[in-house]
Amino acid sequence: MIEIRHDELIQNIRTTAKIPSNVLITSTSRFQEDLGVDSLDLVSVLLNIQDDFGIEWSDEEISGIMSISNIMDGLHKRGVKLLAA
Amino acid sequence: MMTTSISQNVDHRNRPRIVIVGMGATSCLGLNWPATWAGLRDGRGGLRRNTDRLPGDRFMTDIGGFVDGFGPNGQGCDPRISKLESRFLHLGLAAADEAWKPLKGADYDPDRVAVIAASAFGGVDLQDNERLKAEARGRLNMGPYTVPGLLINQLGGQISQHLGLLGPGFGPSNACASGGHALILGAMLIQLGMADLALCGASESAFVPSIVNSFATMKALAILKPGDRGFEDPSQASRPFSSDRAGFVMSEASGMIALATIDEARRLKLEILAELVGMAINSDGHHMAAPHQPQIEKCLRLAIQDAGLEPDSIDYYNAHGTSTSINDATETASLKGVYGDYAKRLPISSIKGALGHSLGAASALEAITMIESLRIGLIVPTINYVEDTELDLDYVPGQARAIALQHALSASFGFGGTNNALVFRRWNDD
Repeated sequence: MIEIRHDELIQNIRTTAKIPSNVLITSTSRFQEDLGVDSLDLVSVLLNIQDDFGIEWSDEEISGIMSISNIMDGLHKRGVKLLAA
Repeated sequence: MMTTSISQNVDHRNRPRIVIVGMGATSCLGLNWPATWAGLRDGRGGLRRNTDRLPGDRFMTDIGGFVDGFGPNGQGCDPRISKLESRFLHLGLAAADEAWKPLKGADYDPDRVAVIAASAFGGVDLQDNERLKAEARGRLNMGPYTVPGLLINQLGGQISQHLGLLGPGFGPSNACASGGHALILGAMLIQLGMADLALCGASESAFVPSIVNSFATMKALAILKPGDRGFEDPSQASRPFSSDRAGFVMSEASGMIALATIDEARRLKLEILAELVGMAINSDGHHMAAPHQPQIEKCLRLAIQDAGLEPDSIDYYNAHGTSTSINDATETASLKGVYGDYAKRLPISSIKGALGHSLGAASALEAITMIESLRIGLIVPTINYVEDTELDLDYVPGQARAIALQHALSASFGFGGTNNALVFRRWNDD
């Protein structure tokens, strides 16, 4: 089973999408509306999760990812265990 | 001979006179133009060995000219363009910021400002990095910023976006002549009445194996062996016009120049640094890479004629001077062809001994060097020079030369057989 630390995942997303440190990222944050992450940024985020954590995403999944919780759901579906900091 | 009337706002061909009102640069000698100029003036070499950027398992040389502490991914990253990780964009935007500083807050019409930002290779470094990442991936491939960061015209796009300049734009790509071509295009747009101001120049950072190693196998790049003075001391790797010249040394750099009509410069109360009085572009129709003396001579003559001058009115020639055997010999022969006996009295220098060859950006930096030389009355030296009995002109070796200058000429020649030449005149407060 793959284990990923929750705070590392969030930091990975923040760094990749250049989300300012004063913008709070929660599990319900929506990429476009709450975090200012556009569609290109989102692909970068998913590519980096693939590079750093070995998680691949299908085209269908990518088109359905709108929020942090969508990413968490995708990880759960793969049996990834998210660890608290 | 027709001469430029100093009392008019148009030149001898009835075109608006074009003046320089801003300059900016990054190079291996410094992160701005004053630092670069100080290094050139003092005869310092900026080339060095860098095995982090040019590791031996991927590159045929580890010597180059690097803009340290600046660029994407790390210290000195410009947050405005942090998602675009091609170095030419970061270097180019920094030079554009510096060149446009005198105009910041000025009352110009942004729709009347042209942006001409050139490069030979654009974002090839980003493309190479993304390709390596993609090879390690499964089905998701290149990062989404690869295309935007690769495009040569993206530099003009980012300058336009971040400086708010909204007039006509081009991203010309003419190999090692790109920067000079950009200046000429900017001046043409002003003279055609399509702009009052133009921010023009070029940026380059092309340290990827496909380019470095191809230049090496072409025998254009210096691949130095132990015992060579440049191998022992990389600051001596590039030695234009020298008997032991062994090819060019690649570098990254950027140079941008702000052009204006005299009317606009005066209206905006801008300091005028020099005047662009003559320009020419032509093509060799000869070879994919070799320079062609007849067309180089013609290009030099056309620029001098365009300025309304005779060849012996030129006080200084800033050379293309790449440190390759063929360029320096062809350029020397071309100067003899244009100037005859006067060629031996014409001071000539190449800044590529100090800065290496920044490909598309080189001629922009050379234009800036000429402008500063005219302003200050100082010719920067050709460093690392060792006399070659076959190349017998005055290459201003080793040390800068203080001399009153009125007109200076520069030329550059690109693979694909494309040439340009520029004549600048000292600004005499007229």
